[in-house]
Amino acid sequence: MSITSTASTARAPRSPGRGDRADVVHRPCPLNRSALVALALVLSTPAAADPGGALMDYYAAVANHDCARAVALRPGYLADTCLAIAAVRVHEPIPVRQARSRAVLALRVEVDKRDGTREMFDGLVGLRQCGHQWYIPTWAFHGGGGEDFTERFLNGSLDHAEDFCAAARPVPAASTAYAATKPPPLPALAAPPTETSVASGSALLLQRCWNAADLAGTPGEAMVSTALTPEPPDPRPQGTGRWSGRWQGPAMNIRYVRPNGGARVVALTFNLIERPGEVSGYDAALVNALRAARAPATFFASGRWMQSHPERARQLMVDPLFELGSLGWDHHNMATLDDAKTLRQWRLADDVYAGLRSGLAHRKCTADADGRRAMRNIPELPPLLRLPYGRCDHQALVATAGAAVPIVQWSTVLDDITDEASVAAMRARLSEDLERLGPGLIIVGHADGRGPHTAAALPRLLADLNEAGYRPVTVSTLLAAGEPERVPECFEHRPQDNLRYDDWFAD
Amino acid sequence: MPLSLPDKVMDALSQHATLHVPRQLARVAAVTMLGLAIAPAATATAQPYTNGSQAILEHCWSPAQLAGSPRDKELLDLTDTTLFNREPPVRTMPLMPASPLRESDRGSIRRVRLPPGDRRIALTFDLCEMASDVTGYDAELVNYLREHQVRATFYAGGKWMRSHPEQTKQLMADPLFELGNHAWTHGNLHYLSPEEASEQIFWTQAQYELLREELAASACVRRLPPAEMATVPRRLGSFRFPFGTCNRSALDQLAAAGLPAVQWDIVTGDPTRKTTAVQIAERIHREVHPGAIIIAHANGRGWHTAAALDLFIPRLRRQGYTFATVSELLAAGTPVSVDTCYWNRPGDVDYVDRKYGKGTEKPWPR
Repeated sequence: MSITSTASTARAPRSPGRGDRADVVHRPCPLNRSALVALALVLSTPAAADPGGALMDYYAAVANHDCARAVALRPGYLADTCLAIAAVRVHEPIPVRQARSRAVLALRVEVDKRDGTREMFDGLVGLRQCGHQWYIPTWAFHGGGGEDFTERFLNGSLDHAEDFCAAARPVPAASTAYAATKPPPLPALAAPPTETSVASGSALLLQRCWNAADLAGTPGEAMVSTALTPEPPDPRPQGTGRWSGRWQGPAMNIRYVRPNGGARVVALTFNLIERPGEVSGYDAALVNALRAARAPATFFASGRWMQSHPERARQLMVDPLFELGSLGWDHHNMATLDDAKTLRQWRLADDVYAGLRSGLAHRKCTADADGRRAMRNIPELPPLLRLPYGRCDHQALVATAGAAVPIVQWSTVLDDITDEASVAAMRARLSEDLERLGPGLIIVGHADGRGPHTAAALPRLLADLNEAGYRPVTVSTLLAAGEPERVPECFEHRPQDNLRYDDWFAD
Repeated sequence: MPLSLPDKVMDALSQHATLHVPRQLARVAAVTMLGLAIAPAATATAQPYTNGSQAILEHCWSPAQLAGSPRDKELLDLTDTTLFNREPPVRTMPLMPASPLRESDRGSIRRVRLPPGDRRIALTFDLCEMASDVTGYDAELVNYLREHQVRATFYAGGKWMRSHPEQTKQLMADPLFELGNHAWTHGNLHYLSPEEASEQIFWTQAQYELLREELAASACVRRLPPAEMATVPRRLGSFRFPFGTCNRSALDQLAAAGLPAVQWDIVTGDPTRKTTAVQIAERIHREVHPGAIIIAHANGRGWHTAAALDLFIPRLRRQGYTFATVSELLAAGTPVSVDTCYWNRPGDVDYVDRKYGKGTEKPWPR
């Protein structure tokens, strides 16, 4: 169920000379005060007696531009912020936990703003009950891994003011009057939005399936060491799977995206490589830094890495901040493999991914109706592919293109695993490419413990991006935000600069 | 800090590292390995048990992860039948071969006759789960056993293992504990057909192998010497009948599968809410004897079980009793078994067929 106000008014011609913001505030109230009170009594909503209902009420008010009601339901919220919203899409909130007069719900909502931008929230919301009415404290929105948030919100240790209920105002009755009379949004909305957030994963599952200790990780996990390598299994039979067809279209890979309207977005990507003869790591400090900064990122993992880090792989699949793509089975150079071996690389990785996802689907955290629903938002197979070493030949590219999902390489190599790697060098490399290419960079680093300074550099890199007006987004969001630059060759910085890998890592 | 790693390790690291990024990788790996080398010494409390691996337990989970949370105990009873989970495991037959049981281990074992002077008893906890529920994990109970080094056996449902993979792997790796088979979805083996009974038994054996394989393939284990994983049992070594019900055919199937059926002779009564911790402790004190097998629950369906532990364990220890796993008890003496199954006395489980039928799903809502 969702409330959709796709702004039928949005397509209507804009009445000239009307202030968008002021007019609602100054518009005479369509009902007199006593009528309002009477309506409020009639409508003294049973829906608001439960927190999910109150949250839907609030978004209904926002969608109808009924901002007085929205502000009453969400004390501290600003009418100006409400008025700047053109359309809202809300997925039905999912109750997480409730204790006495407090409740935490998982919420996913997309907001189109009148300036043509779009925002998405996928996280937890805390609500408080005063009398029979549930209210939404303005500050009680929390993204991602929320075990801690849920606990602290419910026991009251997050509250800024004890007198929340004293300050809460009666909620006026719902009105659709403004929805009809609201002037159309700014013309910018007529153009396609410059950015659409494409989020997979589920905040609900992230907080249900793991607690803070599970997610935290340890420095020891980042170790890369030699190890015996078990024989890979045979790929599962897959008569009608995504690798069964032969690709007929052009064989291209994506290195860079030109965002529509020049939106200042870039994609941070991190490889999780595991080769035969080694067991590689998980850079907990890096992932924790991304989570702390609420910075979206995309990970590409070898199937072997997923197999040796089953819980980590599941967490990356589930966290709405991240996506998990495939890097093939064990980081073979696909330019040196025949078709059958290339396909085997992809299929083995798909099998491990699907097996881990299936294991998750059998846990308590996913067993009820809400959990099953949330599982639908976890991709069944890796939604993105990346060729190891950035190497391919035409044949490998054609074989890989057969899955009909984006093959995503990079425009910017952080060089975080070379001997010269340093925070300063990584920052210089990033700003150089921002200067040279501008928005739409796809930046590659490593999260498997091979980058000794990657985690340390991350906050600085994010600060640099922010200062230059850039925001990190996932690769899927970036792809949806513009026109990918597709090339028929695979390389590191410029064509043919990585042929040396064919000597070092041939089959 | 000077690095003093064995030459072999450094050689292996640098040889490997020349492939990609020589010095950096070697340095990172060396530093982290040093941390690893120090870790076990600081926490060495290992008992000289031959099963499991303290190193795996310590390297794969942080103390906070092992400790779990009180919320792990929460139960999820599904009322919507479309949500019932009847899906088989990824593999339905175990790969590990089993030799048929010796004659003395056939039958439903109630207790073990031990040589004079041997005062061992077996504490067992069932981890039941049906298709219609997802049960919990009593972290408080397991934490008490770990803190006080109390050996115990857990009879886990196959579906419970699948829905609690991390806890299952912890229990199988912990040298203090032993895992046994408690059927796939708590089937009533007195009622089920031989085909259905075989699913209940073998799906669970196979699920254990799958989780053991997942553990063996994980990074934390692959960084340790292979000998560590070798001591984690390769198969579940005994079986417990759900509902305390069985028939001749099920007993024969288990004997052929090499699984002794281990029931109990001291019932704590912990699934009943009104049973207090004091009552549990008193009943155990009243009935305890060398070779006794005590049944309780660790899946959240036990009431006051964790609280009762401190009321009877220290006292039993003062009386000279020690705690053994079921397999140790069986190896030390002669099982006392019967050819029928029951709760307290023969015939007291006749109602189960009527009330639960196959037993794999809750009979409500009616």
